[in-house]
Amino acid sequence: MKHIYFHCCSLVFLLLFSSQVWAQKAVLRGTVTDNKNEPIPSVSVKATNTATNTTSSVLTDLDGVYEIGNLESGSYSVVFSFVGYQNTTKNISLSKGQNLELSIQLLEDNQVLGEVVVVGYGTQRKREIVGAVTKVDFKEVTPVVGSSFETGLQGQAAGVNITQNSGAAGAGSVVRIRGLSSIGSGGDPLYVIDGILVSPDYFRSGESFGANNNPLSFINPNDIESISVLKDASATAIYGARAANGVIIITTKRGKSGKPKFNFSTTVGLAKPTNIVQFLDTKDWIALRQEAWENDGGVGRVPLPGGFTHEQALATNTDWIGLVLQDGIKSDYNLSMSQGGKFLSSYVGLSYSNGESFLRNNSFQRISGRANLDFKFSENFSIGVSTSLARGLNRRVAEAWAGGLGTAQSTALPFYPIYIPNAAGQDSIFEDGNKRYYNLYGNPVAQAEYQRPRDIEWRTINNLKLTYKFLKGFEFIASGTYDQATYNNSTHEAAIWTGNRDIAKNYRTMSRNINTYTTLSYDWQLNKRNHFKFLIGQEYAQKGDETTGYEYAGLTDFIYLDPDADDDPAGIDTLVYNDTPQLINRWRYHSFPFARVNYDFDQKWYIQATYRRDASSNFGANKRFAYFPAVGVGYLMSEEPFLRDNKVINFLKLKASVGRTGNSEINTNAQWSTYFTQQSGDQNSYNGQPIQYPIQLGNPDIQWELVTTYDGGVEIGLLNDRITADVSFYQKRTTAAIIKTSVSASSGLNTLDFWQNVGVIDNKGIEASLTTHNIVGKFNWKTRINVAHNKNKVVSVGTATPDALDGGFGDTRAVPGYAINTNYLVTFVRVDPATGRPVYLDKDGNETFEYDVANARRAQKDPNPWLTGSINNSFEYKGFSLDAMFYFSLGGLIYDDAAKRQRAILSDWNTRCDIVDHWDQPGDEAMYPRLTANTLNWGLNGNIWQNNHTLWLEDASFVRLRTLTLAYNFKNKSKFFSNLRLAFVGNNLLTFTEYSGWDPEVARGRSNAQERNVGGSNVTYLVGPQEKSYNLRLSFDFN
Amino acid sequence: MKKNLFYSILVGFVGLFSVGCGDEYLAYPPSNSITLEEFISTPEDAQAVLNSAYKALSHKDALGGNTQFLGELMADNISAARIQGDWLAHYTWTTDIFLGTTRNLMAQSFRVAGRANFLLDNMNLVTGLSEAEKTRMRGEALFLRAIPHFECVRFFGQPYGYTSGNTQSGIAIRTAWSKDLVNRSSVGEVYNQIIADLNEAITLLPESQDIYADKWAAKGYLAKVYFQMNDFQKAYDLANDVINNGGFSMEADLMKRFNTSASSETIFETVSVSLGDESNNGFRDNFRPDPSTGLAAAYMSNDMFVAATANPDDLRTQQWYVANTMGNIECTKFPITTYTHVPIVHLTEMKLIRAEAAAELGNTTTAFQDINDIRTRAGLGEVPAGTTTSDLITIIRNERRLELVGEGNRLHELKRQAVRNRPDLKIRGIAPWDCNGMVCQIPDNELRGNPDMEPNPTGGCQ
Repeated sequence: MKHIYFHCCSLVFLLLFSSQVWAQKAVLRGTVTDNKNEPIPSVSVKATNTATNTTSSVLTDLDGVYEIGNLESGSYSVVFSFVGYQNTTKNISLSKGQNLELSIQLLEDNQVLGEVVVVGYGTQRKREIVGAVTKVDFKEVTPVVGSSFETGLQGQAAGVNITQNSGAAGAGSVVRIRGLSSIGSGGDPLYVIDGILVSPDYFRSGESFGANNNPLSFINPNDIESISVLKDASATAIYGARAANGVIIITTKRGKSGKPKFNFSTTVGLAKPTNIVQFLDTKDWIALRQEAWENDGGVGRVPLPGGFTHEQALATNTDWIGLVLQDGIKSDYNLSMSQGGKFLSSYVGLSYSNGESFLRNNSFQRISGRANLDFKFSENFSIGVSTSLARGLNRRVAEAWAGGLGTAQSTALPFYPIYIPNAAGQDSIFEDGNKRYYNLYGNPVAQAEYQRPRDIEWRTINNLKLTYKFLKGFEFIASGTYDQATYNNSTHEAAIWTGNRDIAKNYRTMSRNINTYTTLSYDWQLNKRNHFKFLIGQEYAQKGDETTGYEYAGLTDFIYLDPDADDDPAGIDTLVYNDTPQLINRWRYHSFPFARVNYDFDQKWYIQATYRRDASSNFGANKRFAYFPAVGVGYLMSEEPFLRDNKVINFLKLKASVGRTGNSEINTNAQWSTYFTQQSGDQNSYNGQPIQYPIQLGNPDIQWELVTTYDGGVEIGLLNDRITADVSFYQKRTTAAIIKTSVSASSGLNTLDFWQNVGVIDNKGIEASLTTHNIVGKFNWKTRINVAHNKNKVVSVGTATPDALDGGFGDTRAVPGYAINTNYLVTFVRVDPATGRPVYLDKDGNETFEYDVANARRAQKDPNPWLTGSINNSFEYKGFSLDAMFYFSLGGLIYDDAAKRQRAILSDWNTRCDIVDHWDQPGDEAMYPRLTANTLNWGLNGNIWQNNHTLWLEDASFVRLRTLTLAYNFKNKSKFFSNLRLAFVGNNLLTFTEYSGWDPEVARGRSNAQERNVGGSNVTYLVGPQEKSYNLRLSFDFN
Repeated sequence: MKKNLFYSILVGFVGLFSVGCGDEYLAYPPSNSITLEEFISTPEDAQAVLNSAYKALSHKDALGGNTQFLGELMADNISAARIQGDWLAHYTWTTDIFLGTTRNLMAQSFRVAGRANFLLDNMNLVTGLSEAEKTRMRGEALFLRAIPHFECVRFFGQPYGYTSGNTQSGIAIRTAWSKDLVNRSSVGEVYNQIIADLNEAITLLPESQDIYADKWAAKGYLAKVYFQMNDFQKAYDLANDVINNGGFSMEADLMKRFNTSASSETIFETVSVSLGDESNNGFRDNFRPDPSTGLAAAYMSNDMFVAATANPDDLRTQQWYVANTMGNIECTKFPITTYTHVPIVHLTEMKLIRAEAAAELGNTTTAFQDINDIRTRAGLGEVPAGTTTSDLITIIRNERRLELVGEGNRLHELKRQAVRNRPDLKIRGIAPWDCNGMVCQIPDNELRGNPDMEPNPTGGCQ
């Protein structure tokens, strides 16, 4: 290095004295070679005049030669850049007419291989990683404004599938890494924020108002530096009993060395639904209802619900869906400061964002602040203090089954007026001068006004971390964290809605997490070729939720807006309900030891072994301790002599790992028998005497689920990393999977749930990513492709029958031999052309008109997509950049649980327009059967809801333009101002799908783990579409 | 030196956490959790568990009205008008495995047995319980355990006598507090268990105890069981014993049987005493007008009403029925209040049992006497002295229908008659008494945990 520098300098020095050829303009020329003195073609050479800031650039030719003519005299900064090599900058000065030769040698860039990746309890260079770890640089990621950071991860890592529940503001996501490995326990990955283990908590249990909360929404995406996704056991086993669903490590920004530098960014956006499903208008609704009436033998006009005459009904055509939608406005402001001095380095970030969704009255607002301070007391001793505080305010509207858009597409019929009409068909004005909503509880406009749900969440995470280095190669870290979330599920209902007084409710969960860990590591370079790293540590974590709830009558607004409500129950507000505070969801973990040994031989062979021993209160009294070992090997074949000078392959690594991890997201009640103890009140007594009884049986043998993962992979770099690829194969087997056994009703238990470790589940798959630099130079074109295939199969569920392992409504079941979330349905064959009746298969597979729910249901085909992934193309030209990411999911199925009311037997529901394709006369081959209002014509037993079969199971393949970013980076900079960037960001602008419902990307945000796993992401019931948004983003640095 | 000190402190810090985290520390239950031993330790605890079994029995979904309603709905006393949802599946004999009604019937009934079994199995954990109390509690628990078995076996299995050995599938017999899987026993085996439990209860129970089960309750209930089995001698003996020695007397007032206060003819009842406890509200909800609509959930069938109005002098016709504004017949036999005492065993039924059993056994004197007592109270004349035994039985059966209307007896009674001597009986004239749909499908909450649980055949009564 030193002598190359000398060499170059001497060359420049020499040339400075050479004769001047050009009288006026100067010329710069030279040859660019690599460290073997081979010329490198297509190297970008940019010469920037430091005074005028004008740039001239060229590429080297096949012989590595370049020439820039017509240069003014002056000082220049010359930058040589090429993929796979370190950027090299030379400062020169040119005099008038000078002909300067500047030849240089570029050094190979080992930055890619040397890239530092955050792993469990430490960092590793990418080169030494033996497992399946994907690093996502968060600069390249654009989360949806007003959404949680995970929306930005979509498509960024192969094998990580993220489905946001819907486009509602504050909606959560279902995140699954390498498929579903659990039935009855949580399937969400473990989140680690700056070394602190955080589990997602669905506080809004029971999905009040139709959806769950997003437990990750407190994180400001702008504070995130990078995210590591750990997928295989060698990477995750260091997290032991909590790692089986994969680990997502979030690293926030810290102060960078230098003077204080500020960044400001702001976004303004517009939100719209991706799609609007068409429903019948009044005229068509009545016409089809009349047709059904006549088909069923009715005479005259069909009676209409609500007692309307046909004339009255036809005078109204209310667009209920239009009434619950809006153009949502999004805005986002971020200010951050980064600074690094000798003693203190700091990062401070502040943000405010408010994202309205396309649903009227629906928004999510986040205010957050973070300070990451690093105090360096000496070379050996430093203390890091990190604190964050965020407040999320989710102005909610009822969704899905609970109302809002759900009602607008179901029970709010097009001929229902918004307000109660008078005899002339106009809105009635009542004595008090006001209008009154028609059909109050079935009127989504009235509901939005009178019944307002709102969530307010506060979250603060505070960490103190000591780092002490001693002797040679030893490092000791001690970390302590206090993490507190206060979650308020608040509702205000107006008097007109409650029928009595205003009611304000607030249900609060205060979750406290404590986490401490200590690690001791030792880096030991035994000799030139043998290198060891040792890590040993212990960790303690505890968590508990305190729940309280109260309801007041007479409050005209939310309780949280009236701080006196708690203190003033005797005033005009009346406490009508007060929940006894309870401590629930409590657990403690103690992990000692966890350990990791890394050995590398000659920087060619890498071996890593990890081990963790966990004890947890989540495990039954008879099963307290769990052990999780893993080992992985990496082999850098490209370091072998026979490949070292290969012209095509510049990097080749083979890796393999095996190990065990656990899932201990066990229902905390699983091990405890519960009892109803004596309480006051007539409803809790018999003949005035107290009663008490057992409720549920606990299982003292309950333990973690055990996941054994085999992983093999290849990383390859071609043509000096112009092309890089990473392929992994894996097989994951879950044993001791927790099955919520259903105890027979005749046992007499009040709650029939009993958890047991009896299941076996397999996931097998392949993941690949490919990055190619298609065009390099003035114009850059880069392509990134991620694809993943996973096959999920339940192997065994003990004695449970399919109906014991259901996913809530929607008829999905975990059935051995099939995927966990398989639809378990009667098979619909076709509409009988002769009669127009639906034809099903009976239990023996023969065609029948009878719907036999007890015997003829079958596990249907795999509802999971066989291929998911993304294709991302980035183009750069001068200051412009264009980035387009298409996300795709092929072969997935969605079951539409509302179809039985929207496009089957006609009832008092809205009907989807596509029902016009129904059977009319003998010989018709139609999508839908003959119109009828009688369930018996469908072979059903009289219950309109008991109509689940494969007609409602639909292919949900899609390709979607997830993000489109067009940006311009302004070159101008001043002493105080730089990096001005203006970008247009579009989300979900285009969707290609044949799915007929709202959106092929849908998830129901269930809080119950089994329902989340078995029926969470392939069943819809009135869930709305995703969001399409158009955003403008401006950002710049200043100091 | 300083460095070494710091080092030792840190190592100590590591060490501190590594010890002292034993099992106890990791037992970290929810704040309201208690152990079995804490739950049932005193005699009061044991009594409270026993009370909870009665409480479960009084629940709407057990004998608080809905179970009785199913017995009416699947027979011929109820009109199709206003019947919807799950009730409609019963009315049309097309129950399936996902019905809320049958799930509730199975789960709520067996909570009675479960809590009784829990007490029987854990009584040894109670300190300070006298032998006399133990005996009484055992007797009550056995009595309470027999009831859900009898109620459920009649809905989920073909009736006693359907096959000569009664080998047709019944229900799971539950005689222990356990989550263990238990398959269905034959109807014969279930009846044997019911009889054994009730016989043992008779020996253990006291002569009399307020509203709680006593000897006469068990004897009366056993009489109902034997009568259902067409075992007339045993039914006669037990009913006779209760009538002669139990100290019960007929109420002159027909409105007294279902009431918010005690009745002199009640042998055993469940109680519900205040608006705070509306467990027995099934009768009100099914038969009385809903205040919001002014309509009852169920109207009486035309067939029932014709039978009831056959004699204009019949006081039951006058007091128990009313035609609403739309001309539908509502049954007003049950109180309008949402809470009521519900007689499970009463003297009127004992008289009806003794009357028919006596007639079957050739003891017509007793038969005439009993049926005339009932007819006289209803304002009707006595049965003519020369009536043949066969006609007498027909009259007794008709009086049983009229007296016990709404009390849930009708479906089981029609099946009993069919087994006895009406093999061609068709309910409502259309559905054979022994068709598949006449037996309810075993609900999914009983099927899903047990792959060996045998479902009932489907196919309704077409």
